[in-house]
Amino acid sequence: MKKIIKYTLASLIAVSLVNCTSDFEDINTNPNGISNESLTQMNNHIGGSFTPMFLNVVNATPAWNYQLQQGLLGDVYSGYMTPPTPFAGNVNNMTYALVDGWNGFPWSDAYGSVMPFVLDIKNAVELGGDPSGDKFVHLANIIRVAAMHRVSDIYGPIRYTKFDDFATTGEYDAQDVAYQAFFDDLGAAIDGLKDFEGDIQFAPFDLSNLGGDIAMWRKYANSLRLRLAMRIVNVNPTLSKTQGELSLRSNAGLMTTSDVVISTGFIHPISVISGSWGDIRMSAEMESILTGYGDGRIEKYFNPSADPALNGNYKGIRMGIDITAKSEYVEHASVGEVIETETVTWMTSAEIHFLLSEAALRGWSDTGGDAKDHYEMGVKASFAQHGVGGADAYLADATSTPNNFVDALNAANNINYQSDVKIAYNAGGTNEEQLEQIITQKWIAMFPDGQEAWSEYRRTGYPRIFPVVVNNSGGTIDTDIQIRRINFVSSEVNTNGENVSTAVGYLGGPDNGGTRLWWDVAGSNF
Amino acid sequence: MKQITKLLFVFLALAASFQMNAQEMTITGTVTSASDEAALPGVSVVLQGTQQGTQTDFDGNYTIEANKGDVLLFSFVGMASQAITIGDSSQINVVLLDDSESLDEVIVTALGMKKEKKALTYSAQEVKGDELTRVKQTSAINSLSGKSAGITITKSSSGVGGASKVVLRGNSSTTNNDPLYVVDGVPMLNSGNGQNGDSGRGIFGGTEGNRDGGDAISMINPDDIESMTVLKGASAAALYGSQGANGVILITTKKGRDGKIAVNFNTSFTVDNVTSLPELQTQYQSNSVGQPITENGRVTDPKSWGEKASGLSNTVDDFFNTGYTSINAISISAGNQKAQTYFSYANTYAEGVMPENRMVRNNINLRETANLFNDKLQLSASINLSDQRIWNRPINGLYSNPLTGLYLNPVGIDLNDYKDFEYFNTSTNMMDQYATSFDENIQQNPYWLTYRNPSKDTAERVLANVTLKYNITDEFSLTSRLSYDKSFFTFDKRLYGGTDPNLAPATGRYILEKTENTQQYVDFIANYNKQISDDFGLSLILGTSLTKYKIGDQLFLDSGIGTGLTYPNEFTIANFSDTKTIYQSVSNREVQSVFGAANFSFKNMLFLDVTGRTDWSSTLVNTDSESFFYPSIGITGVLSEMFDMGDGISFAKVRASYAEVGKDIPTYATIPLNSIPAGQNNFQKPQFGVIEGESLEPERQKSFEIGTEWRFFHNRLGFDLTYYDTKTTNQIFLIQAEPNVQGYVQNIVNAGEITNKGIELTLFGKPVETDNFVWNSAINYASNDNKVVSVHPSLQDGTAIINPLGVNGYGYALIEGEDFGSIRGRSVVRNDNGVAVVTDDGSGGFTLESTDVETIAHAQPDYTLGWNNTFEFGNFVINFLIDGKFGGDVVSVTEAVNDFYGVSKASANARNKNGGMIDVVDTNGNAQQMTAQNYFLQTGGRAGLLGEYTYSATNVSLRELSVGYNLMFQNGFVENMRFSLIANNLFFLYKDAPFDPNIASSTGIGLQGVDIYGQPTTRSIGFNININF
Repeated sequence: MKKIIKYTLASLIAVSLVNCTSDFEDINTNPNGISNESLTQMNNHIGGSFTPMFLNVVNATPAWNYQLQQGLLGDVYSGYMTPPTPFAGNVNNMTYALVDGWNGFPWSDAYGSVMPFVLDIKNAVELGGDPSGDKFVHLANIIRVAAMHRVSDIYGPIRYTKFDDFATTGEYDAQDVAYQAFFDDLGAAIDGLKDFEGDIQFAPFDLSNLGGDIAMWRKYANSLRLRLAMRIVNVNPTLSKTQGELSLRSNAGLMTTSDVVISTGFIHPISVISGSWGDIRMSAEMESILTGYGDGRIEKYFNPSADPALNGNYKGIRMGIDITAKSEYVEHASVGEVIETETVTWMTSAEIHFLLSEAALRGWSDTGGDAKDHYEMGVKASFAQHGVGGADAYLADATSTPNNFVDALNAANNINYQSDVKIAYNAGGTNEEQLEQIITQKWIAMFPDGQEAWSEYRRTGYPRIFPVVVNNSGGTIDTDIQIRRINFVSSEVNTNGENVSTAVGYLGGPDNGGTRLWWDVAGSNF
Repeated sequence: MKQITKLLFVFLALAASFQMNAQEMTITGTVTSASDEAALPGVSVVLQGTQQGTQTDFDGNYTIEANKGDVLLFSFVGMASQAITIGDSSQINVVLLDDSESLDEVIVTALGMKKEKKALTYSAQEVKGDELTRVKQTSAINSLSGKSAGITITKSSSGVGGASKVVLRGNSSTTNNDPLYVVDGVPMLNSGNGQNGDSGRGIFGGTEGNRDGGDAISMINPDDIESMTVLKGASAAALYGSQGANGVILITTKKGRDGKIAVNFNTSFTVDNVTSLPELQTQYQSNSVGQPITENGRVTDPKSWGEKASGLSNTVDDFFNTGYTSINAISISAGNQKAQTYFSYANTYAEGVMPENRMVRNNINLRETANLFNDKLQLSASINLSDQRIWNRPINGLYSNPLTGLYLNPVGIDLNDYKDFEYFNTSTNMMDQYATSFDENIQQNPYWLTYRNPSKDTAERVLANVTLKYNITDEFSLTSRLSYDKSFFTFDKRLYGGTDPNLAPATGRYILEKTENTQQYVDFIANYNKQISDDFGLSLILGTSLTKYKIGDQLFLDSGIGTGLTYPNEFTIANFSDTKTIYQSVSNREVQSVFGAANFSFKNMLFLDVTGRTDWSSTLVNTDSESFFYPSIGITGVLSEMFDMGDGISFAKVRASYAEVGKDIPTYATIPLNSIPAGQNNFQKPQFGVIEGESLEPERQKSFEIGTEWRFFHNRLGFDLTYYDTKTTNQIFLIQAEPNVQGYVQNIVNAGEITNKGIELTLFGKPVETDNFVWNSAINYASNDNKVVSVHPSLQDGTAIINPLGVNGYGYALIEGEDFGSIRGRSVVRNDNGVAVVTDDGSGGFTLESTDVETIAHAQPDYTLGWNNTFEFGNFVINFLIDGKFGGDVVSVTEAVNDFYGVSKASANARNKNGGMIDVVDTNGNAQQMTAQNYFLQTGGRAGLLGEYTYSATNVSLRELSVGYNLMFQNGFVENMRFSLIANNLFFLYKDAPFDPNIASSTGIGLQGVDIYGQPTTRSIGFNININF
């Protein structure tokens, strides 16, 4: 009997101690996950990383994410659109009570879906050791600049040049440092990709209409450089001109005949927000300018108001007014067929013409035409883009001016448009007058990319966006000067506080919506 | 099918052998107490294996009809029971020993080990099966509320078949606070299918709502439960190692008995009605009244801020049905000394208070026990089958919830006009929703959601257990247990075209989820017991176990909100027009364990317990150690054995114990992989990961408890007092990621410290005992002081967010220095006189000044009190339970949104007062007035200032009431019959909140203490009939 006990105990202990944990690694590996090794098949570790970037420069899905990335920021502050919905009791972004719970999305989309994937591509290419992989790094850098300049144009300082190294990844760049890095990255890509023209390896991963054509991507990068060069013209005219003229002279060329359109596979989020949710409508500025100009594009951009009392007119809503119920304004003009596609437009050829027009106005060399030429080409390109006729007649209109805004429900919101800017180009006007014409038309042409339109408004002061009626900023945002940026996101303040403090120092002002960004200089444009 | 055939065969065999034994004789005798030789009145005398029995009279005498060979069981509170087999004599006198003098009162403890209660070094409270089934609930666990100190039970708001949130001794963990359920010695998988365990879907609730997927414990047939033992502290649970951190509830199920065939039939029927409905106004109509209504039913203004009018009504009451619950159960027990059989079948059918909500459940349980080879080998095998179907299980949250459209219906617009919830849309040539509005996407026609967004939950469960015990010698035995526990869940939801386009495309939407949970368990235990000398006893246990889990093995198929279905309203996956929203998931885990325990006893008065367990867990790969060790030590001294304490004190003991338990880390956390998320066509990087340079380790809980138990006057009075102090460290937190290059949104870290200190007191007694009247009373009191001492150091403001505020007004977080679970929101800024402060926005409008996001409530009670009473006179037994929770605050999003829409009574009251104006003060200190409408539009709504919607969670209710009558039949087919009137949740003696704070929006970790259009609580009244054959 004793023996049995002994053997039993011995075997029990033996069983216990020889615990077989060798398959723990397998058990603890998610069978539905995808390892980095697996992704190397068909180069998806490189190519597949482009997809999330393509879908998040302008967020493609879900619609509420877009709404928070851009729909309730640039799209409203640009004067393009206004929600009829009094979110949070009408105490929200529109009335300058900046909602931290909303405004972290431009940041998290960039740092979750763009920056780390660029780094992955770099690491994968470096690991592969094949110099033909360099093209992917350049392409990734182009998209990174396309994404991150938008983020920087919202907050100012961003994490960019030191992102790739774990030890320094939390550190911010001042906005001028970031912009210099954008120029460096774009310059390197434009030069570096030259040797790859004709290479088709990127084609299967390219969600854009550039179709993996490296020459086209060089063209896009060069056009992006021109956009950014012009962005800093007031704060650093020398660098602006240097970079701008690099673009104008580059053998890459500019996107003057083609738009950059991404096929996302998801209906444009604004379609959901405007159509299904009824949470965005035409703005007062759009109504004033498009109806004042008798602009044919209005039929593409918006639908006539559904409210029978508005007689089928295109009626907009002024941002930042008193709204008690969504039902008051919800039947104003909704967004039209321009967003009824499964695409997002990153850049239009019209924009390039307007950039060229401004460059010519500023006396930059190699613009290939004067300000008027490019102005008119820009307008025509935009009409053509939307399939609208009558551009010549439109351009000849020397009398129409934006209408004053009349609120359909509340006269307290009525406001006069503060300019009588006209359509037909007046080359005899002052520089400011000419610039107002260029930017006003550029603003119309860039719809619905509110992020770019808001940036250009802050840079130039055009078009004349109406101030808010209700200002809940607690004095941090001046009603007349209007909102200039968004405060740093709360998750960063929470987890990366010290570096955020340093970044606030770069701002040269308090961390609120009233502080101007580096390139945003008050006063004259010339 | 084979199983069913087999079961049927057994059932028929048992029925065929059913026969009456007529050789009855009358047994009489006297029962006395051993300590003072006094006669004992009220001793229960029962024929073993039956419900047939009697009680001794005032002089300790009894009379009972029985047969030779029957076994009589004599039992009395606090005294050791005795079993006596009837021989030739018809006179049987019995001397009962005080409990402290007996070795008989045993209690089931960890690993299914039976221990003398007096030797326990920790707090364990046993609740008998009949206490659980007296006022039957569909989930047995809900019946524990108020019956054990230190257990807090919160039902989900999903009504019948819902899960329960059970917390022992306060929340201690950031990941999971559910106790471990152990059925007949084998840990049970309690994972359900849905929110149980996760943080809920937030305020919106999404297309499926905050859906309760039920839990496995609710699928047990309450009539199968012999007893439940609640092991609250870590010491009691230390032998369960990584599973024991939240305490253990041991369930012992019934088994067949040696003796004649006993058949028990139980039927209960209750009628359920809603109570605690939100208060709605009928004085101010919507501006829509008198305005045109469009073809699809839309009104001009979905809110109710219009003119005062008379003759308005609301028809909320009409929407709810009178629900009912019918539970029928039969059990058959039979056997001889060699083999015993227990079989039961239960059928539960319930119609919920929400229209189209139904539930049906069938349980079959078969258990065979056998003693073989001269009782050397004991074998027990059981198989348990459950099948449950729930149609239209109620959800909470703002979307897809009929209650939002119901409560928010514009006042003055007759909801009866919307009972016909669809109209023929000529342009699409199909039916379409007829609704007042889709405002904020939270209003749809409640009838449409009921009939055109139907859901069906199916749950099937198989639980098979085999236990083998071999007694090698009297002192040495080996035990092995095997169990296979598998659940199958199906969730089927169909959203017809015409549903709010935010939630379903015009062609409709089909969601189908198939989930399996599997647990395989095997253990092997050697047991050695030795009375070394007269004074010293020793018992040793050494064992090993292996558990494999496959939880949430799911196929999720959703046609999504893109292009939806190809052909409208055809709900089959072949009809999906895109497959962006389908995915698979599973959580695999394996735990291997070695454990041992040693118990020493000295003179039956001093006991020492030492246990140890090491777990190897698969989740710990890529960490510093794949194993972790959990020790415990405890000591008990029986004072009444050590000292002569006089007659008044029947029993006294003191005990102290210390233990460390823990919890392994989430699956896959150490191997982050890319994934393809639903709704995207591309891969996503891992969303969380370990901070660079850090490793993870298991959560650890150190706990210390001391306690004392006293009984007086032959156990007429007694108490059990425990003080405990637990500290949980190395908590797993998912925190906002530090800046990183991997794209992590969150970091998973070990951090923090949460402490729980508390007192548990159970007081029981028999205040009145006469010949024909007995009053038994028990009070369970528990207080718990719960603190988050620290969270992760990288969280600079000491806040770990569980439900972020996002675009809504409600958040949930753990904050250093505060109680566990801080409900976060904003409040109105008020001046010293309590007047709301506003800023003038420049255009004559006022904006309420609001605070930053701050803690507005903690939901956990400071203390709980249950008072259970039984009165017996003659054949009548009356029982009632008063259950109270004191302290804590809850938040009502329902009230906030109702205010925002102007449908709440509060909004009408404010409009009736002061000319409809609310006095406020501007920032310059000038008195101002704003309209009630303007005020509520700012405080109310889902994104409103929820600090204004905070209520005390304190509530006291008459939880259970039953009036029973026992009928005995001396000679007949039926032995006895008990007829009871039963009631559950009768009324609140006190309640401040506008909803029942004992109902949770989620049984997971998040969404605590908040009501988001949850189903109102129900009051159940009915009867129960129990018949023994």
